[in-house]
Amino acid sequence: MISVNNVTKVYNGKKAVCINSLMISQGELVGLVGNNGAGKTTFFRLILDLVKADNGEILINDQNVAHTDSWKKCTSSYLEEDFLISYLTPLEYLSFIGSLHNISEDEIKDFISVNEKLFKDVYTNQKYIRDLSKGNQCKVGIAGSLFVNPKLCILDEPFANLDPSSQIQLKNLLLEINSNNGTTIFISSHDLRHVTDLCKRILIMENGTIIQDCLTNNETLMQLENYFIV
Amino acid sequence: MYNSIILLYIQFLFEGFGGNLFWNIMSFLSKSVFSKSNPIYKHIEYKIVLFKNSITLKLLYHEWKGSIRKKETNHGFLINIIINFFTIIVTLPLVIIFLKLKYVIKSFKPDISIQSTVFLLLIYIFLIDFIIRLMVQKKISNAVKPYLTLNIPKRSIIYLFIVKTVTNTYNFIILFLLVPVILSNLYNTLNTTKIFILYIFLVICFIMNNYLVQYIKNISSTILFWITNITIVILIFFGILFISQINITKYVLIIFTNISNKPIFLLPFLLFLLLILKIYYRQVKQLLYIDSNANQSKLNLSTFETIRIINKKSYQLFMLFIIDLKLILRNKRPYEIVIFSILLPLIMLILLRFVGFSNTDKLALFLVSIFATGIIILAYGQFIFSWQSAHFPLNYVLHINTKEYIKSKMLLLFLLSTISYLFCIVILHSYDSLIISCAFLFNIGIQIPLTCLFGLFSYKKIDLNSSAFLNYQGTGKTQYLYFYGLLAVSSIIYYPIQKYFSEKIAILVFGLLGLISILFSVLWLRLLTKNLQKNKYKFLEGFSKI
Repeated sequence: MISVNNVTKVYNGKKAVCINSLMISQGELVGLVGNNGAGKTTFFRLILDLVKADNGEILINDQNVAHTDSWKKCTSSYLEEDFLISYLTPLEYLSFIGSLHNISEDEIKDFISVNEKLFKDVYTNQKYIRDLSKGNQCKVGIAGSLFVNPKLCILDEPFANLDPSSQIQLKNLLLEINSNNGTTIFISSHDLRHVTDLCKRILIMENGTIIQDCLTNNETLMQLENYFIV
Repeated sequence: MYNSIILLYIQFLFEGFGGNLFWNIMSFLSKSVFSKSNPIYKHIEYKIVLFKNSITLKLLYHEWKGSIRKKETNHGFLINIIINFFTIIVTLPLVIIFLKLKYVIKSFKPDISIQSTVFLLLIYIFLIDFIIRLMVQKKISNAVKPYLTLNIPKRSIIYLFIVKTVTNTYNFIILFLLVPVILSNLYNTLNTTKIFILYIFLVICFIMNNYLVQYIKNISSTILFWITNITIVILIFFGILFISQINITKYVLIIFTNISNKPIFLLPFLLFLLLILKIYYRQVKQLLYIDSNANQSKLNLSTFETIRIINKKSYQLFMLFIIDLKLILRNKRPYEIVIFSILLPLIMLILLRFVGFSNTDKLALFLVSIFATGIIILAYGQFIFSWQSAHFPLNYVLHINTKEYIKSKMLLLFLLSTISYLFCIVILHSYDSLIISCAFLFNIGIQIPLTCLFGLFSYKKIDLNSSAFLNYQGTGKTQYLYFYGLLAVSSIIYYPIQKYFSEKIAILVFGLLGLISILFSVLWLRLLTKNLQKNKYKFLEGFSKI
């Protein structure tokens, strides 16, 4: 699904991202953890062709993200509230995204009603996105990236501004989408418990490089805590 | 090739300008002309569906929504329409002058050819248009950031930029008001077809300007490049002055006559426009990354470190001044205001020098000098404290000396006005420099402290990165009160002195008032410091409001 080959990105002489090789297969649920400044967000931005890599290539479904747009049809993402169209209402925003994927408003409503607890309040809110709380803005972004039935979904710290109930609901929803639709989900989070609960594979990033790539087991949480405690 | 030009044509024109209306008319016509089974009817209907599902159109619709839901201005849709309408109304006197141009020419210089004068005027407008665009045209921004993560081809986003760049009030005024009106003066000398061909030629030229300036603006990401731009602008104007000594009318006449006679000559211009569009397309493609502005050069402060040891207060004043300078250089609205306020008087002075006004008309010279050296104080100084509205509380957290803070503002206004004064002295060197100096003294002595004082009553937050052109954010009754008040008081002082003594003495009195005010600047500083401290909470409250 995602193939990263010799990718580097340098800012002011410092390597923000330097990954020699990384493969994420279809249907995987992968977590990316690392301290602030480790390069997680830059890495996501490189995958989504939001910043240009200095070297190397990133392929999504064997398509170089820098050379074509066709990978966008099967990819969805939510990185931060800046990527929302602030002057639209949540309904307008989701309808717009739906129109890009030929998804009708009825289908959006179906998705919302199935995940009523998590998204209904946001969906029916008549305020503009810019006037919503950070948590609700985050929900709009996540809803927008999930209802389009993507093959690949990239979420940068999706749990960050959510209340505890929403965090649990989101976790369940991501697991469900991953197992039912075979969607590849790639998330980053500072919450080690959420990552270990959710992801079957965890990547640890430091100074722009992936220093550990492990499968999750019963001891992973403890190992991660021990790693970051130092 | 042919097919791609047609596609480009459809994308640019039909999706951008009134496309919906076009296809609705087509639908109506096809329904009336063809039967439903006719393949032409089916093709048109298919095109209509394609058009209505066009992503570029959806993005344009969003842009429109974004503009009517703008948070910063608090302007409703109706207000936006009124402001745009107001802009058009303001240009009406100019339109009327251009409409009656041939009568104006006949009354002043009856022996001159109307045709060559009109052509010459169009060339000047074309050159001035380029400079105006450099100052007022908006730079490409990353307002499209949300679209980048969505299932939208980059091509559609680029089309959006291309269409957005050309659809604005300024282009409407130039292309649909000024140019047709100027060309209408040729109605008796050229036939309609020729005038229409010339109109097409001018539209191509102005659109070329539009994209060329946009291209320049997008690549000029460093301060150095901006300085180069400004130098080019100045050189162009001095170039115009130089050219004016040479008879260029002959060449202009050859170009316009040939184009109007042989429309084939339009082709190179059209090809050049397509080339510019292609270059612009590629540039926008390169800019569609969220870190495209990340590598801008920054002013290196390390060279100023030595000043720290000289004097703590001077150092703080210097640093505050540097911050103000950076605020101007790195933010759109203050930058545009400063550049505009320096270039506008410069253009005016050059034109006045070119046209020539009487050396004996002292009042006219004084008023011209007042305008030239004072516009920057008025334009930038009216928001002197509001410019820092976004980080105003920081001044109090960092415990900045209020007096030094105000001094830095006054120093900035003084230096900006001095630049204009130097321009005045150089360009109007053959005129009475004493009168120009009186105007300058009045501006730095009276205008600067008064503008700062009235700036203390402007509590509205300012968005630094919106364009200065037609931007009324932060403007309130204070500015009008100050402007008309100063005008009234100046008239009250001027006319009695002029009546009982002389014009020159009245002007000297203004210079003297400025000089006295400079000598008592300590009192001004005390007054401003006291009032800034008094109004501190009003500022903090006002600037925190969105």
